[in-house]
Amino acid sequence: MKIFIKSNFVLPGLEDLEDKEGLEINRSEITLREFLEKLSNMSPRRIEYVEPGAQELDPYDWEVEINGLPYLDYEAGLEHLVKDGDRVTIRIVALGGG
Amino acid sequence: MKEGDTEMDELSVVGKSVERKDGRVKVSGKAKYAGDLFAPGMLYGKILRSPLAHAKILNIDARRAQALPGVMAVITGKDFPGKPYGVRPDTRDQLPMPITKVHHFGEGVAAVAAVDEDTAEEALDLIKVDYEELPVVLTAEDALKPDAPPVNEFKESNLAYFSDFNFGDVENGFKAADYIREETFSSQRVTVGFIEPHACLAEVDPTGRILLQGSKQSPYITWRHMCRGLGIPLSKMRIVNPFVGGAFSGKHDPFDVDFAVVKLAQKTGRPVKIVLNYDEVLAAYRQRNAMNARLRLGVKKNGAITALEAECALEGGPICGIGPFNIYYFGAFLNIPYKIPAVKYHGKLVYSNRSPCGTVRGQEIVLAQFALDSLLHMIGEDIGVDPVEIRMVNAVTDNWTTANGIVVDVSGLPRCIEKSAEIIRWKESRKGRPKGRGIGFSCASHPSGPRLGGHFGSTVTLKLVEDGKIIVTHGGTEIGQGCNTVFCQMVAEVLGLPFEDVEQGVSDSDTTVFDSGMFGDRCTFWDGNAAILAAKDLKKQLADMAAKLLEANPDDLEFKEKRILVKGNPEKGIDFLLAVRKAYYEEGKPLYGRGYWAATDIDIVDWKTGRGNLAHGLDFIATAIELEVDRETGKVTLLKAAHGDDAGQPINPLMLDGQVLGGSTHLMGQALMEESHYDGKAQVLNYSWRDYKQPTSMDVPLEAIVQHIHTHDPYGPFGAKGAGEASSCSTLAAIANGIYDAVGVRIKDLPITPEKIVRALKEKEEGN
Repeated sequence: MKIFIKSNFVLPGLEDLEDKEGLEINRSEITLREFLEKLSNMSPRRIEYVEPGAQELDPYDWEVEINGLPYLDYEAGLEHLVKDGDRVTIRIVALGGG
Repeated sequence: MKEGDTEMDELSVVGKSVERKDGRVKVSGKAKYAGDLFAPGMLYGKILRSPLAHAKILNIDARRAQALPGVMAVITGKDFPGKPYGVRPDTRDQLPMPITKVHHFGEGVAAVAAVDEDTAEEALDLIKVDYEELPVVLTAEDALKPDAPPVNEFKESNLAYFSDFNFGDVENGFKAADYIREETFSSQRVTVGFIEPHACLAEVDPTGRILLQGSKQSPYITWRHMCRGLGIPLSKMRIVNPFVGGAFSGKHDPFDVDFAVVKLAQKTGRPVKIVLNYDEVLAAYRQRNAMNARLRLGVKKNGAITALEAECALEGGPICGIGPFNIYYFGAFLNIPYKIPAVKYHGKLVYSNRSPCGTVRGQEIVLAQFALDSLLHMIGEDIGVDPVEIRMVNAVTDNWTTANGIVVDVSGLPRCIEKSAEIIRWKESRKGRPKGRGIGFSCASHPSGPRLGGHFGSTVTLKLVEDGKIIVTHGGTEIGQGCNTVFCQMVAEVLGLPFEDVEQGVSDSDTTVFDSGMFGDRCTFWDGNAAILAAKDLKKQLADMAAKLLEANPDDLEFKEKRILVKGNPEKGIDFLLAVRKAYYEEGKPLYGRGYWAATDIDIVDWKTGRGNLAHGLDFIATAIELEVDRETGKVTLLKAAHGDDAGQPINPLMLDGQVLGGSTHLMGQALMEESHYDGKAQVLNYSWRDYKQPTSMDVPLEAIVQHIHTHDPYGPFGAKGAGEASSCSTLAAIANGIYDAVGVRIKDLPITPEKIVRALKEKEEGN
């Protein structure tokens, strides 16, 4: 299946992936947690989207949406099943100032 | 006009240069800063610093220090959970204190708490650290060599971050140009320059909850990062901000000093205070990035810009820190204050073994503008377009959308340029001027606070006390910029009270919803809007109550001169204080006002593309500086500065003058004299005020004029925009351009020291 990713930062390990291109996943369904784990594994220094054992993402690290809705709006949250053609939006949150 | 606005001629407190709320206690020395704090049973902390800039830590033996009478605890990096922190989750590369290696000269490797400062100092001498020295990286160029030693243990390469932005059609833009010029520019390492060194006091209560009182620009940022670095939930730490002696972007992050003081307090069970001396700050804490940039600019015959291509490398020390934002700002703000239809940008941040960088006032828009406005002047001269004219041709105007999508609602820039040229007597100077004298121009723009994601709003709460006075608490931080005063002005204005009846409360994470950070000219704009809404909330509560007594419609009431009146019938009204007392004494009702504001309609920063409407309230400035260059010695004397400044509606004109002049003066140092020097082993050479030169009152223009260009920002509180950083951004190029105008030599490498000028003059004379 193919999952489309939109991000406000260059995804480590997927630098050349265009938003409209989509990422091929060799499975018929995948939870959001598994999908983010997959992205972690693709990044050279293993960027952690989900902290080990966490039930949700740190809201000061990431804003994640599935098809335009915040992932926590889905009952299963991180365990929500992402399907073929879904769009996952990942926004990085910065904690600092100039 | 939006809700909360009032016609300017009706304003009674806003727009007036009322006395600063914190002015008297500060100038009389009564204000309590972090270094002045004391707690019963308090211990004194000191930090042991690395004499090497890059080395493996083989072993730290603290046994002798621990055995010294009066020493209560010694800590090292191993006392922390080892969780890296950083501005973004993908750039986490800092530990509270290092564990395996040191990355820069003066990095803290251990800390001691003792019964007095002398004992703590003595204990530092007894700690034995075994190092294995490593080769150092000094420059951006060295950092990216294939055989360069990696600086940061969390990254394999010294390329810490990069951005590639493309806005508009650059290729066609250059094709359409009648003239193209390319130049390189560079800038030096400078320190931040606040007066008060880092200082903090930590206490741990019997439940383990931490209280940290420190000199912090953005307590929220410190709070979040520290809780992560310490592995504790947010509710386990309370942060209270005392008076802060300046920050200028140098006090956002938590430092080793903050982590150490907390850990020492946890280990000893006693309050611990650490106050750094300034040598430590100059050697080992935040500086501005060194820059190398290449710009290529295309223009039409009349000077109108058609395209810009830029490359920038920032050398940022051993951490990423706020560096990605510096890279972003450099590229995104090439789009403004001039109308540039197409921009191509490549920026990179690299690690080195020099002191860690954050940024300094104006962020790296300062450096972008130095390069762009210098090049614009050079091109103007090449094609015969006057420096004022070429800026007028390109100046951003109302309702302009930049190539990367920043929407400018209101721009006073053309009027700013006119005014600065008029005040500096530009036209007259072209008819004749003393030898060695010149005038330089530059413009700049700065946003009023971007949206970085996460918690990004601003909150203000008002407590109306039984005596009719109001206590304001807001999520921003008073770091000297005057925000406490302007919020009191705004609240007084909305509620029809005298300024004196509104007081500023304490900044405390237990009672205050902190802003996401105090940066980027956001405070007046964001918290100001929240202050207005909080005052209106309170006003509504009082109006509802007074309406019953006055048998009137609440919407028909107005608040004026400490009274609540029926509009058009001034005899029908009650005293403000009477309404307050009725609330408390007859209804038992506490009076609180609450307001929050967030620009939810702007775009969250797009780090990948640099596109989007980054912020509201773009403030503008045009700076003209007249100076004199001594051809024999190369000494530059700044004679006069004229700033046309569009900060929307000035809330407190005198304080706004201070912000504009402060920003400009700050950068005069970077233009002409300041530089943090390093030797071949990346050891800082000039880390005392004796050796590190900042401008004094003797170095700044005797005459400095700020002409406020009144505009009305549709989103700003009372039409105000942010202020204080744009003048930082316009000063470097104005001085560089002025020096060229005076003696005909162009220095593109900051600082423009007398030695560089004399050398350039000599080369010019020799026809080289």
